[in-house]
Order: sequence, then structure tokens, then C-alpha cells
Amino acid sequence: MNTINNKIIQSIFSFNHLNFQNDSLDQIINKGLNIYSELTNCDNASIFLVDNTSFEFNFYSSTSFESVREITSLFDKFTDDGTISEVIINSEPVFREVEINSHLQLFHIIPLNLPNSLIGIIMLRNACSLNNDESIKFYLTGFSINYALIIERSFHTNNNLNKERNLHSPLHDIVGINLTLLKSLFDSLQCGVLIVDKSTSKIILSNSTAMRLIELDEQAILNNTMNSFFLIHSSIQNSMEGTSGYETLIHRNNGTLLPVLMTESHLINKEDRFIVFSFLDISAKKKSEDELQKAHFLLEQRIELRTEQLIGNNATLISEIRNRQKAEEQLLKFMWAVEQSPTAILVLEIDGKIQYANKKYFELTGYTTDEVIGLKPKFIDSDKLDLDESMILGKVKQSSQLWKSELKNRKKNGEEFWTSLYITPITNLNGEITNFLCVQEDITEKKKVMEELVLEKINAEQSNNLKTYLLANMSHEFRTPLIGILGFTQILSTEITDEENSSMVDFIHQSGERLLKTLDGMLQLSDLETQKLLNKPVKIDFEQIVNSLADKYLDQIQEKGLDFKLDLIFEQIYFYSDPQLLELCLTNLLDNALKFTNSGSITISAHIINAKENKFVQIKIADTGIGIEEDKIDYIFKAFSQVDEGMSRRYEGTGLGLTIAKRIIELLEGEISVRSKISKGSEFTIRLPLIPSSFRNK
Amino acid sequence: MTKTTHIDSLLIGMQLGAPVKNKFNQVLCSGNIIIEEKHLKLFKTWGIQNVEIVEGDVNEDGKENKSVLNEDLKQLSKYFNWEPANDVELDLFEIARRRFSELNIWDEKK
Amino acid sequence: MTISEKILNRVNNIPTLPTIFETLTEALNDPRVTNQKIANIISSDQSSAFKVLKVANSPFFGFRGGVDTISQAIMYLGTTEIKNIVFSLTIMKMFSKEKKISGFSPIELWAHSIGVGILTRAIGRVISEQKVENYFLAGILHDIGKIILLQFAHEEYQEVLKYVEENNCLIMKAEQEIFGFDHSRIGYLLAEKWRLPQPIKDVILYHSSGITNEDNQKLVTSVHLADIAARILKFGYAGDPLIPQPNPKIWENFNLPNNFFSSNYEKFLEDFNQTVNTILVE
Repeated sequence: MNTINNKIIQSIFSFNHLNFQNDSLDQIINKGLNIYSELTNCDNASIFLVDNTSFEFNFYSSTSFESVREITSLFDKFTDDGTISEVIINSEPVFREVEINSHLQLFHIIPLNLPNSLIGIIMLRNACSLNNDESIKFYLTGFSINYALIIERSFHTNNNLNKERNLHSPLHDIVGINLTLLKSLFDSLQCGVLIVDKSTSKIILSNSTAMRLIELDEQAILNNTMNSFFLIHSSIQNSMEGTSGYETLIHRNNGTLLPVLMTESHLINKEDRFIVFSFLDISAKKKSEDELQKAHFLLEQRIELRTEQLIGNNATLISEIRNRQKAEEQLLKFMWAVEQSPTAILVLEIDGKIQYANKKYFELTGYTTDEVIGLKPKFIDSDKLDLDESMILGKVKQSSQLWKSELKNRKKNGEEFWTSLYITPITNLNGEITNFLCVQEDITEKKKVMEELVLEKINAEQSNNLKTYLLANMSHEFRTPLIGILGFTQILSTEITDEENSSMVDFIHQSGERLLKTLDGMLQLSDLETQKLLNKPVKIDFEQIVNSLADKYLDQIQEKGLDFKLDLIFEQIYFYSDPQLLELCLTNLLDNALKFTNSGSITISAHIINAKENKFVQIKIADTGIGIEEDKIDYIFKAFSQVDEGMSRRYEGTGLGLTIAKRIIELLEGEISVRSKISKGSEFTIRLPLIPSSFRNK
Repeated sequence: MTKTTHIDSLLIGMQLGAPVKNKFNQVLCSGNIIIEEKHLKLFKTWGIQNVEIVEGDVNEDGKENKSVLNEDLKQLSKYFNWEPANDVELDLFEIARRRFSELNIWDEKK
Repeated sequence: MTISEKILNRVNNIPTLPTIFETLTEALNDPRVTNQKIANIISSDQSSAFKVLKVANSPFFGFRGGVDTISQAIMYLGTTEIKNIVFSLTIMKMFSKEKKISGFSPIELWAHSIGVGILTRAIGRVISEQKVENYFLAGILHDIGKIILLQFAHEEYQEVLKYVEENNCLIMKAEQEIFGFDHSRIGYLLAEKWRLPQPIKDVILYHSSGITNEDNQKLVTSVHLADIAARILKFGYAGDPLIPQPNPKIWENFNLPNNFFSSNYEKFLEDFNQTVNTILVE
């Protein structure tokens, strides 16, 4: 009795469900185990509970911190040798001695019986006092009944969920003891660990590293399958630096992938129910491998580039050599060309001595090589042109430009010939003059032809002047009698009443007037040729000119049923010119327009045009008349040409109007042009300078 | 027909002919299941002496193999609702069998 | 606007292909273009060039570690294959990988597509098809419609997955039930927009039936079988857990060695692992 102290007795009797209202199943069970331990003095008390569906015994808890494996394997041993079934069948504790590692160990196996079932078994190790003290056995039997009842009650009082969780707490199942220690150990691991229940394939436990790597909390991880988080599942084992395992990828919710090295192991337990997946983050390793490979690729790329450059350089060298060969060939060709050239070529040294002369030179002058090379050339051997060769060369040297001249030269035999002479400096790469190139061509024949041409021109000019002069005088001679004829025919027409005679007189009068007009035109033209008419330019207000033209033409135009459009934008158009000549020109153009237009309109427009360099006034006279055929446009400004010869009857006129107009505009330093379309009309455009240069220069 | 058999002479793969009860009349194992290792252990723990076994040539090789194949097909049929009609399709079933057994613990059992 | 109209509308707003790809296609259309020029275009984006090299070095292209530069890769694999690799990478980069919905993520779908790409190419080689350059790309793109739906009809696609789960049916059927059209149609619209070549369009449109016109029949059949095999091998996830039977009609004109899949089993797993690691891991 002395081995049992009162405190233990008291705790046995106070082991009542009323005192465990707030305790969890865990706490109740562990408190009970402690009582077994204190009462019997055993070094270990363990409890195995019956699963109420599979009727298997599951290790639940133990009083000492030691391998669950050892304890469960002992239980397995007692199952195998029939001890457990003996305890169950007889509902009585059993005592066994077992030799473990050559130490004799004592075991008491105690059933936790309820009236109609068994809820578990208690296993005590080395409970020595139990064999010595009968009273302890008595207390023990009583306590066991109480303990079983309280556990059973606790199943029911704790809500079902709680009971479920506690009974099947995975960590309990797996390690059973010292939960907090193991949990913190589990969480402190550097690798992620997931434990999967084989029967459901679901993850039942995750350590904090696993949560961190998957980037989800425990709630989101548990009860899922492995393939919810891992992309590749492969049984192919890669051995990586001693670790066996395989690489796989965690796919996270944000779409990123994390490479990990995965190892699988079966948890060694009394039943093969759990698989432990542990995985190590190898992203840093992968990244550095990647960097290494990247560096390798970059290096290779650089090598390739360099090789290519070298190949390129080589190619440049080859092409340079080829170019040089080509240049040499070209030089040879060039030399050959110089030698064979049909013009005489000399290369002079800087002091004027002949360094080289081509074949033609010798042909031309009749000299031989020995007589020329190293000497000063004799091209200045001219009577008329008193030129000093050193002076010419000096000039060329100074200006670095081509010097050319035509001069008479003398051959070796004394014969004279005309030559054109070109001298250019030859410079080196630095721009310094090293030589002179002297090219001569025999132009004796050309010279002869030119002289003839000049003579001919002088003759032609003389005869033209004569013609103009003649014309001017002759016209006056014609004019005077014609005025007489016209005056008398006018008187006659009023006198004669006989209709037939009257019409004859009218016809004479009209023909006379036409003749007079022609004569006037010829006179004007000849005046223009001799430039008699040109006055000093004055400031012209173009509006005035148009107004006076309108006064003059309005009646005639309206008589013909035409519109006279002056819908011009009349800016203030002022310019310097000869107003009489301009009006004469415009009159001629308007006459022309009126003559060839039977319906429609005649339009005058004028603008100041700002061209890039100079300002000018642009005057346009447009009609809607018969127009001019395209291929005839070039002829219309020529004297005495109406486009259609046969037309002269219909459109009576001198054929001088446009010629005069053009001549005037030329005198006024302007331009005249025409655009026309047959049966649509013509448009004459005049452009005059605002201030004629002849005036400006004065 | 069932036959009372002592647990020492039970073989894995035999079929139970009647439920097995413990001392407290709790049903440890329902009838007509195929006996596995864990059942043998369970009987031993609870001190069961004899069980009822369905008579017949359960152990004959042919039947056993066929049952295994059927089991495999049953597994596959969750995903396949067709049967191989040619050798290539049979080959597809073969890789399915290999892959599925490899991924047993990865995949959800629906 | 109905759901389907809304979705079609969104598909119309999918961006065009990135410029690097346009430049590349243009350059490749120039008959006088040099390999170096192509290499320079690809190398202009260092990070994608690196990936191209990694893919070119992966075992299933058969140059394990032997390709060091882009121009070498072009030399060994040809411009078309390289273009297709660039194209695959470009497209994967274009779409978000974040739009995960319960039980289905773009990553899993891309992994499935890569698996189909690998298997299609392997089938292409064993049926001694002359031009296998398009085979990998065809596999990669066959389910592009699903990618689009995941991205642009994110909300609605959850309904589809729910339907799949409740009815244990192919995702295609669920799409038709809920949208009135399926991913092959959407994929085809995109292919039109991007002016993808006809063989790829045919694959996108017909891979689930496996039957098309004569020209691209072999390619479409290869993708059809590869899709089924990838589902069996659990390469990624295609949106539904079912494994359909190959269309019986395909066997009329298609010969595959009897033990083709089982004898290459390990190789397929290894190729898949490696390629997913290379392509998908950033």
C-alpha cells in the first residue's frame, strides 16, 4: 500500500467526466495515460483506439516521446502472437515478457471495455509495481472501466466534427506524440512537404514551406490532389547530385511556374497509407543554369559575329587586290587611249619641259621624240599671239583652271596650221600641281569654214538692212498715191447713184483700205525692225489702256453679237513700258480675236505675277473663235501667214497683225505665247516685265 | 455454397460468404468481399477463428487474371467510354494503364 | 447582345501579331534573304532568341545541346521550323497565363498544347511525312480557341466547366450548349484574322473530328490522335477529363506502328517534361 500515495487515489476518483467539460479528447486521453503511468510506475503507457468503421486499431497517444514505429511494431507483434485477441476474447489484462535488444521488458496489455464493445487497448511497459501490489491491480481495473466510459462519453459530448478531426488528425495518425514539437519541426523544414492519403489521393497535410512555395494557405491546399498544383508528374527519376527525385513544376494561381525537385516516399507506419512528397525550390539553380547557358549563347553569337567580320575583312582584302588589278588594267587601257588619241597630247613638267608626247603630236608637228622630250614646247611659236609659255603656265598654276586658246602654230617644216590649245593642271592627291596636260587639235579646216560663215553672215545682215530700208521708203511711196485713191473713191461713192456703179466704187474703196492697212502694217513692221518706234518707257496704268480699248472695240464686238468680258480682277496694275506700242500690240490681238470669233466672247485679263525671281505683268486675250490647229501654232507669228491659206477670203486681213504683236512684245522685253484648241478658241498670253531692263539700267 | 474455413487456411483473393462479427456482434467485414491482407490481420486481432468462404475455383489462374484485367478496365472506363477496335487503340490503352498506375496518387479518384 | 455575340465581338478586338513576327514573315517571303538576316531579326529580341535556342536544343528536335547560335539553329532546323518556334513562343507570350478558373488554367492548357505538339511531330515523323515543320506548330495551336475563350470569355467559361463537371462530357459539347459555338470556331476566326496558313486553319477547325480535305488530312489526323494520346498521358489538361475514341474513319488512310505509343512512352514523357520546362518557365 505504501507505493500508492493519496494524490494518485484522489486523481483516480476525480477522473470524472464532470471535470472534463472543457477538455478535448486529446487532453482527456493524455490525462488518463498519465494516471496509468503514475499508478503503475511504468516507463511508457500507450493507447490504441478502435476505428468504429474499419475495426482496426490505431495508435493514438503515448506518455513518452519515442518512436511511434517502435510502439506500433510492438502492438503488431502482440497482434501476431495472439496476445491482443486473447485480451479481447477474455476481456482481461494480460502480462507478457519480451526480450528486446537482449533486455527483458515487461508489458501489460489492458482492454478498455464497455458493456457491448471494446473502445481500445492500453499497453504499459515495465509497470513493475503492478506485479508486486495487488491493490494497484484493483485500482487499475476500476480506473480502466471509468477511463473507457469517459472516452466514449467524450466522443459523444464533443461534437461530431470535433471527434472526427481528433480521431483522424493526420499528424496524430502519423506521429502521435508531442504534436507541437513535431509541428514546428515540420514547418521549419527548408523543403515543402505535402502528405497525401493514398486511399483518397487527397493532400491531408502541408508544411508552411509548401504553402509558401505554392503561394496558397493551408485551407486552399488541403483536400486537393497533387495535380492541382504540379504541372508535370513524372515517374522518371533524375539523379541530381546524389538526391534521387525528379524535376517538376508548381503552377501557381498567378500563372507563374516554379521548378522544384520532387521526392516521393512512403511513410513507414503500421499501415502503408500515406505518401510524403517533399520538394525543393530549384528556381535559383535553374536560373543560374539559364544564365550560364545564356552567357554561352552570347559568347557563341559573338564568336560567330567576329568570324563573320574576319571573313568580311578577308573578302575586303581580296576585293581590294582585285580593285588594284583592275585599276592597273584601267591605267594601261588609259595609257593606250592617250597614246592612240586622235588629238595631240603633251604632258609637261612643272617647269614646262615636255615629259610625254603622244603619237598624234608627232604626226601633227612632224617632230620626233628626241627633238621634243625634255624641251619646252614650241606651240607658242606664233607670230600673232605674243604669248610667253611660262606666263601661261603661271596663269594655269595660279587659277588651277583650264586655259584655252586658238592659235596659229608652225610645223617642223615651217608650214602653218591653226590649233586649239587646252592646258590643264594635273594635281596629286594633296591638290598640288605636279604636271600640266596640254591638248592640241588641228583646227585649220574648221577655222577656214568659220571664216566663210562669218563673211556670209555679214553679207546677210547687210542685205536685210537694205530690204528694211527699201520697204520703209517704198511703203511711203505706195501710201501717198493710195491716200489719193481712197479720198476720191469716197467722194465718188456719194456722187454715184447708179447702184451697180456705186457698188463697184465701194469695192474699190474697200480694196484700197485693205491695201492701206497692209501698207501700214508693213510700215509698222519695218519701223519695228529698225527700232524706230521705241520710246522711253513710262508708267502705265493698265486700266486706262483697257478702257480706251473697250471704247474702241465695244461697238464692233456688240455688232457681232459677242460678249466683251472685262471681268478681270483689276488690281492696281502699274508697270513701265511704251503705251503706244503696247496698245498697238493689243489692238492687233483684239483685231485678230474679233476677226476669227463669230459667237461667244472675247476676254481680257491682267495680273501681276510674282515669280521666283522677278515680277511681271501677265495679260491674256482669250476668244471663243475658230482656234488654231496644233501643228500650225508655230507659224502664226510669221509674217503674211494666215493658218489656212484658203481662209483669207473669209477672214480678210493682212496676216501681219500677229507678227507685229510678237515683234512689239519682243521690243518691250516680254514674251508672247498662244494656247488654242480648234473650234474652241485661242488664248494669247503676254508677259511683260514691270520695269524693262533697258530702262532699269539707265 | 459457402464453407467454414479456419483463418489459418484463408488465402488472399478468396471471397467471404458471410459477414464476420466480433465478440460484441459488431460486423468487422461484410459478406462477399474479396479477402485482402488487411482482412487477415483484422481477423487475427479480434480473435476470429473461422469464416465462411464462397466455394469455387477462385484460385484458378485464368479467373484471377481476368479479374485483374477487368479491374484495370474498370479503372480506365471512368475516362474511356469505348473499347479498343484495333492495335493502335489497344496500344493507347496500354499507355493509359501505365500512366494511370504511375499517377495513382496524383490524381483524384472520381 | 447575346453572350455569343459579346464573345465574338471581343475576339474581333484581339490584337494583331507582334511586329517581330511580321518582320520575320516578310523577310522569309523574300527569296534572296540570307540566314544571317533572319538570325539578326530573331536575335533582335535577346530573351526570345534565347528561348528559341533552348527549344532548338531540346531533345525532341534532336540536337541535344548542339545548337549554339540562331544561325546554326536555322541551318539545322530550317527557316520554317524556326519561324514556327518563334511563332509558338510569341503567341504564348501574348496571352495572359493568369486567368485561372476553378479546375482549369491557361498554363495547364498550354502544357496540353505543348504535349500535343510533341506527339503530333512524333507521329508526323513516324508516318514519314516529308514536311513535319508545321506539325509542332499545329499541335501548339490546335486549341487556340480555348485559350481565347479562357481569356476573353473568362466569366462565361466557368459555366462551361461547370457543365463539363455535371455532365461528364467533352468541353466542346459544353461550349456548344452554352455559347452556341465551340472553341474550334473561335480559333478559326482568329486564324483568319491572323492570316495563318491553311493547314493550321484546318487543324484548328477539324482536329476533334480528325477529318478534313485531302491536302491536310495527314496533319489533321496526326493532331487528332496526338490530342487523345496527350489526354491519356495527362500532358497538361484540356478542360475535360474524357478520352474520346479516335474517329474510326481515320484508319482508312493512316498507318501507325502498333506499338508506337508504348514503345516511345518514356521518350514522350521526357520530351514533354523538358519542353514544358523550356517553354513555359520564365
